Order: sequence, then structure tokens, then C-alpha cells
Amino acid sequence: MSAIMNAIIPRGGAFGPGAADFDLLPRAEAYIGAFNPLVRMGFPFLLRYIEYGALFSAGKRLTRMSDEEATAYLDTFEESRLYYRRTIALMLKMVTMLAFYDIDENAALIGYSHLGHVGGKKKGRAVGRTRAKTVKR
Amino acid sequence: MEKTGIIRQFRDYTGRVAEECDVCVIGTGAGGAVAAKELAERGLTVVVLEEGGYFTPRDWDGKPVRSLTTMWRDGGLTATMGNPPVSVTLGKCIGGTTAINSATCFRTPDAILKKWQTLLGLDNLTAENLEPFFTRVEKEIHVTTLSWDVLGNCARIIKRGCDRLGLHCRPLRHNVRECVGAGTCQFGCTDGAKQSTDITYIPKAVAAGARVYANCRAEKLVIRKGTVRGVRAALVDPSRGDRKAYPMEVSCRTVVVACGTLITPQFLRKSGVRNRHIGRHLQIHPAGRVCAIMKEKVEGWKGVSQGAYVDDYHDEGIALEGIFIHPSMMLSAMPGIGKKHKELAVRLPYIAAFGIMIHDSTEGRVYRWRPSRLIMSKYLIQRDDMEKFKKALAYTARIFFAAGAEKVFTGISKMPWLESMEDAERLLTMKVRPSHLEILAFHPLGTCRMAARRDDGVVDGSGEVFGVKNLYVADGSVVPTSLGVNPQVTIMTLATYIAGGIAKKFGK
Repeated sequence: MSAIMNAIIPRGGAFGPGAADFDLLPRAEAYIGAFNPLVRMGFPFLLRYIEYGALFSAGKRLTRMSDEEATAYLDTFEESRLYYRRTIALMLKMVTMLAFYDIDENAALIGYSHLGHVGGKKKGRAVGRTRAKTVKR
Repeated sequence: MEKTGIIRQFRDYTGRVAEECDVCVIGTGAGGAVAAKELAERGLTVVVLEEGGYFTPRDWDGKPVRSLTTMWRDGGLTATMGNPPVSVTLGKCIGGTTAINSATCFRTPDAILKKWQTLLGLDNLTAENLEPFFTRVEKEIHVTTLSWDVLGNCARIIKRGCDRLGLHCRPLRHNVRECVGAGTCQFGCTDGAKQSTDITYIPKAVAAGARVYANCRAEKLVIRKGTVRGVRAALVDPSRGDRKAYPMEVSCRTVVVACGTLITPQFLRKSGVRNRHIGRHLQIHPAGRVCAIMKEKVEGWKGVSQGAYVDDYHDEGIALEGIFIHPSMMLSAMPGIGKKHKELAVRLPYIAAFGIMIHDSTEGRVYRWRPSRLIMSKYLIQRDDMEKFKKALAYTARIFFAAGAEKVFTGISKMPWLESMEDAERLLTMKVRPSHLEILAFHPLGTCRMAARRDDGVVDGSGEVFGVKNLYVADGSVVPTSLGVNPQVTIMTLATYIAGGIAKKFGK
């Protein structure tokens, strides 16, 4: 998963930091942990499919590739004519980007400021909190 | 006699729970929360079961990761099988999907009500009869029209494009109070401005004495001699994948099932309810989004997430409605891996987005309950709906180009990027297959549809299940057909109507 995340958001390019500069796995695991149990069970098999599938198309396992090679390999998923391969790319991108841009500093690198435009206006109002009430009949 | 209303959640449970009440309501979304409040306020004892957890605005940070893992069902990965599979947004928390929707409000169109009367004999559901219920709901959730200054730049850009093309872009109506345009509607409104049912109906239900059990999954109805007698449920541990921790039994005189369109049919079947329409007639309002790279700064996250709409194509079954969500989700759906992704990502402040929604005629299906609690459903988009979808993308692209867009992304794998108005025109006549499309859905409806006769539906005009006394359904599954507009108010109105009928039966 780390290799995939490093390929999706590598170091360098339009902004310096990449996935490798942060400990994203706990966030990714928290998100994957919310999947349905069957889907969650299938995720490691998906990763193995990607890891060993690279042997056939690129001659080496994903985790043995450089970031550029891994990016090029994952590109073939995103640009595939086959819907399931495009869906795999989408899912991996979502897991990676949810983890990466969840960190405010990373979101700021692309110009996004979370709730910055509303400042301190009415944050965390105590609405919806219900206390036990006694209703007399 | 004193009655205590309360919300309990997993940390409050210490063992088996047994409850007794007049009415057990299953679900706290647009249907269940409304039914609970309406019945409790009329003096009935109400117990409410909710599978998800209980959260308040203080628990949310407005970012996707925390919300997807706590408030959305299955991390947002619920999908129908089909070509293509369709991702369906479902909430799983107190508030249900109303806690994660875009707060958009429409009444049921008159033409749809007439269709229900003609096709399904629902002569009770006229605009005139439902008017007081619509009004009641809209007052309860504070439906209002926001000013343009909180609607965000995406809405303003689309308005500019519409003005140049002679189309009409208007502000949507939202159920909000003092909305400042934080733009986190789908991941928890951090200000508590969105008047979802956890903010409105549930506190009122509790104030009227309802006892709400969060982290409580209804497992089966108890039906004896054609009458519902109670519910068997499981109190679940959210830290252990919702594994059952303790059993719960509710003895009651009436049950209102409001688990949502994709779960209610499975639940009814598992409980032994038989009707050939259960699980059929699934309609979802297939949706998509179009993103445009503009020359001007947009900063689309500043403002209401779904601010405005264009209904000039209503007669074609197409609605265009705004949508702008957190960059992590938006950018993941746009092309680019590695440095190509980064080059696009830094242009985020210049990216605008708008959504499309189809009034579908395709009907899908929800299948029987499976042990993994995986929702098994199928939706195979038909050719005419697919054509509408493609046209909607093209119309939106046209509007963006008229507004000055440099490039437009449609999500169609065959032609993802459009570079000019001519490309948008070409898209209108291009041959597209379902597998080329990325389809989302936020409004599943119809799987336990209401009808006057048992041969045509699952519940009658009062919401009672044919063949099972005192068992009612009051969620999106009873909405007989696709609406062509956001269904929140329709579901709440029907739930209010159904609850009124139940209360009358109790003499309240």
C-alpha cells in the first residue's frame, strides 16, 4: 500500500512533499476498516493482484519499481478500457488522497483551506445534543 | 406516570435490553425520525432503533475521513451491481442520510403525484391533501432560500454561463438555519446549520418521551398470526465492526420500518414478509459531475456545497445541480496519477464543479439478505437513461464553456476532457456505452412502493404493509417512482402522513 501511495503522490513535481513524507498508513487503514467486512477481506488480495500483476506487464513486482515506474504501471489501470481496472485505480487514488489531503498542511499545498473562509463563526454550536428529559404524563 | 426520553449508545449498554412500547421505529433518517417525533408528540410511547452511532456537530471536523468512517455506510462504498456499478451514498448514524446529504429541498412535483394516482390508484396523495404535510415538514426543517453570497463561485459561474445561453440558474432551497456556507454538508455540518433529522426531529422526539437506541441493529420482526408483535435486535459494538454484543427485544403494538430503500426490503424478506414487489422498482436518480478549469480563481469549497440549479432541461428528465466537495474526493475522481495528478491538484483553486441528475425510468432490484450484510442490488442503466446522462454532461459542459472555461472534465472514459464548445456539441451525438460512464446515486427509491392494491405494491396508501397488520414502512422505499427532484421532503412528508394515520388508529 505504501508503494502504491508513493506512486500516486510521489515526491517532487508541482509541490515538493509526497506520500512518502508522511505516515499515511494509519489514516488509510482507518478508512479501509470502515468497508464492509467482505470488501475489507478482499483488499489484501487486490493489493497482491496489483503487486504481482506488474510482473507480467512491467517485468518486476510493484514494490521493486521506482516511483516513476510504479506511476506508469498504475497509469495503465486508470487508462484501461476495462471498467474494473479503472475502478481499481479510482479506489486506490481515493484511499491515498483521503489520507494525504486530510492533513491540513498538505491541503494547503494545493491552495485549499479547510473552513478557513468561515473563520471562528459559530463553530461547534451545541445543537442536537439531547439530554435525558423527564416527561410528565 | 413519568416517561423519560433519552438517547442511548453503545457505551451505555451493559447487557440484554428488553423494551415495551406502543410503536417501535427502525431508523432515524428522513422517514424514521419524522415518524418517531410525530407519534411521540401525540402521546404514544415510542422506541427508536438506529444501527449507526450518535454524533453531534462537535464530533465532526467536516473532513471526509472521519465522516466516511463513522457516518457513512461501509465507508461510502455501497454500490449496485451492474454495468457500470453505481456508488450509492447511504448514511448510517442518528440522522441517517439526512446527516450527510446536501440539504436540498423540493416538494414532490404535481405531475409525479398525478402519475401515482393514475398508475397506482393513490388517490389520497393529491397536492391538495399533502399541502398541510409539506408545510409542516418545511417549517420543521426550516426550508429556506439562501442568498447568492453564500452559494459559492461555482453557482455564480454557472449563472453567468446560463445567462449567456439564455438558460435559467436559480438558488436551490435548503433546510438550514444561519448557514455561513462552510461547504461541508456531506461530511457533517460543523456549525449545526443543516437542519437534518438529528438536529430537528430526533431531539423533539426525545423531548416528547421517545427512547432512542443508537448502535442497535434490528435483526428481525416478530410476526404472529399476520400481525407484527415486536422486533428482535442486536446492540452492536462499533469498535469491533458492529459485532453483536448484547441482544435486545422490543414488544410493541406497531412497527414502523424506515431502514432505507436498500435495506428495508431485505429486512422485510428476512422477517418473512412475502410480496412479489419487495425489492423491485429500484430507482436511483443516476448522478454525475462535471469539472471545469477556469481562468479566474473559483475556490469552490467556499460556499454551500450544492448551491444552485438549472431546470431548463426538466422536460428531458435532466436536472443540473451544483456540487463541490472536499479536494481529496474530487481530485481522486479526476484523471492523473503521480506528477500529472500534482499538476492538476495545484490548479484546485481554479476548478469549478457542477452536478447532473437524471429522472430515470430504469428499474433495478434489491436481493435477499446475505450473512455479510452486504447490500446486494442490481441496476442496469437503460439506453434512454444513458442518453439522458450523456446529454446532461454535454449541457453542463456547454454552460461552463459559455462561462469561459478553459477545459472541462466529464468523466466519460472515451472522452474525459473537452477543450471547446465544439467538443461539447460533439459529445451530444457521440456513441457512448454504459461502461464509459462514472455514475453515482444519492436518492435510492421505490423498493417497497406504495400502491392502492396489493397486486401493485408492498404498502397501501396509509403505509401499512399488505398482509401484515400494524407493520408500516416510512422511508424512501415507499416512494412509488423516481421523482426527478431531491426526495428528502417527499420522504418526510409521506412519513408525516403515515404517522398521522397510525396515531389516528391509536385514537390520538
